[in-house]
Amino acid sequence: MTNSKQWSSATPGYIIFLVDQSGSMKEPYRDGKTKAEYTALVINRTINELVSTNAAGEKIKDRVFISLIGYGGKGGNSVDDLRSDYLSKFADVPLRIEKIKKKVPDGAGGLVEVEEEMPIFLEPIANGLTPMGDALAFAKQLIEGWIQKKPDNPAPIIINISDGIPYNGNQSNPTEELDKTISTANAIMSFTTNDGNPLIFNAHIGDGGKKIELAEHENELGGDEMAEVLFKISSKIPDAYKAAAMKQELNIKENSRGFVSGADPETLIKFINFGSSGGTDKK
Amino acid sequence: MNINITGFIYHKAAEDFSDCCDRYAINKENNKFSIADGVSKSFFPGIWAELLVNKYVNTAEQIDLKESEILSSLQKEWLEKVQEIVNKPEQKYFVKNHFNKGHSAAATFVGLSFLKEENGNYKWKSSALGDSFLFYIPDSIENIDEDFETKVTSLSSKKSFEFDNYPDFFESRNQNFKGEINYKEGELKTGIFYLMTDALAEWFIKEKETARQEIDSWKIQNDFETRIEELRKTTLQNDDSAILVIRIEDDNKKDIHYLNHSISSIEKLILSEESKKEQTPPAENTNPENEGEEVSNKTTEGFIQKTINILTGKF
Repeated sequence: MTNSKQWSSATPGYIIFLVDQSGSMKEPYRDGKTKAEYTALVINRTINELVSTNAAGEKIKDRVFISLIGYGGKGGNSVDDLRSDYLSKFADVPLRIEKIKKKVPDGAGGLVEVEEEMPIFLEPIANGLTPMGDALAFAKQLIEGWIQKKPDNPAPIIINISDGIPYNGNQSNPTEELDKTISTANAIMSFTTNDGNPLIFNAHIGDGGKKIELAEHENELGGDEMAEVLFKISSKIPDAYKAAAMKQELNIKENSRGFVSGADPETLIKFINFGSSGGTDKK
Repeated sequence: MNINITGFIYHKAAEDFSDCCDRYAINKENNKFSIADGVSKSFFPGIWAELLVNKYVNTAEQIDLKESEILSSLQKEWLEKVQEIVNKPEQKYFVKNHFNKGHSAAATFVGLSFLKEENGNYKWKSSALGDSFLFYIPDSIENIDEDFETKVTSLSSKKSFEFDNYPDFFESRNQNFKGEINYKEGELKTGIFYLMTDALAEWFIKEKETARQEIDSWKIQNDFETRIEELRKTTLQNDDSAILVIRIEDDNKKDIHYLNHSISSIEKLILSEESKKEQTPPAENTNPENEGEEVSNKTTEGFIQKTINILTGKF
């Protein structure tokens, strides 16, 4: 079965989060938060969850390497490595810690309020254009380097979160970035590793458009241009990932591709959790 | 009867003995032996596994760990040990968070006792929860490749020989245990008892006679580590691996005499490993950040290439 190799200390996995930091990400989204704020919240929660599931007491097992790549964040067509490191380094040195109060089960049927220290690894930014193609090109080089150094490791995964169509400001060729996005994504998905092809999963943060979850065919997209772009550059969900999708209660079908469009916050959280599961419904 | 015991333990590939969550224990005075496999994704599973195996072997009378008084006292002991760690000054946020959220440790367990009966003969009694296994092969069996399930006595709480990531376990907080404990007993005769954690058990069930002969060749810890590393390339899962081998031989006497035992101590292995690390000079800085200095920073491509060099150097 492809893409079935489990993350382990001996053969860590690799997740690349591509984060749209274009100007439109400052638009309101939900619960008083902007799209950028919600995206940062979900990614911070996901990495914190990875820390939690890979903790053994006081130590974090380095079962995954993470890259956070922002695009548009420094204005224009910037692409930035916000942070790349093994999980234990993320855990040991977050950007900052926020203290929040949470109610948790007390083991006797009730709830008790406890203080939780929430690590922050990514700050919300919304600034420039949408150089998604350049971001994928950057990710492509990272994946090439990874495969060369770690041929026996699980195939890498890219999770791309965006609210808009790729655009680099070139008005004489407005589809230039779009074309680059599609060709680069296809190149990445055709790399071969001992564990199968690298996977690209895409989340389009909605503006109230039709919600589309793990579609099988383009005709399910209702003519949504952004959805069509992301559908084209999304990997078919391998069998090894289907249990994880079901665990997150996502609408998984036989030939589903790894993308959601018009994603509401709940779907976004479930989708990111699924994408970063390492392909296993781990206990 | 003469009894010889060997015991070996090894961590997962690319980890350390301090990461290993398998534990075993023996107590010759009590004629008791036990093995436990801490679930690595749980909270301080090594401490929990240690408490389970030691409680079983160091209690002279027969006990069942599922008895609420026994389990509660073990849970209290675990909590005290973990609380001490959590309360250390400058403790990391994720340790405190996990403790405050009520995270617990989980571990499988197998226990084996030899009991003297009124007629002077001995019987064995065993209990198991989870996917650690007890196997018993009497001396009369020469080859276990055929009719394995008939020739080999086996015990775990698994309903079949299919292994997954969801074993039954004893838990250090909240619910007492998951699954149903299984029991077996019999007359103590010459032969070999094996107590193994799941990776070795799965391999043993699959490889049968080849595995039995392989185990026979393990005389010292180094043999074990070398062979486990080899076997992981083919037939053995990459997981913590622990085994106790208890050989019963006839000396024409009814009473039990312990002869040789060679049992690796996880505490000594951890100390030895830490000592080696202290003596090993730090690796040279191979951070390609310095290599990137040669690449022009004046162009975007140069900057990107430098960044790629740095990042791939971290892999």
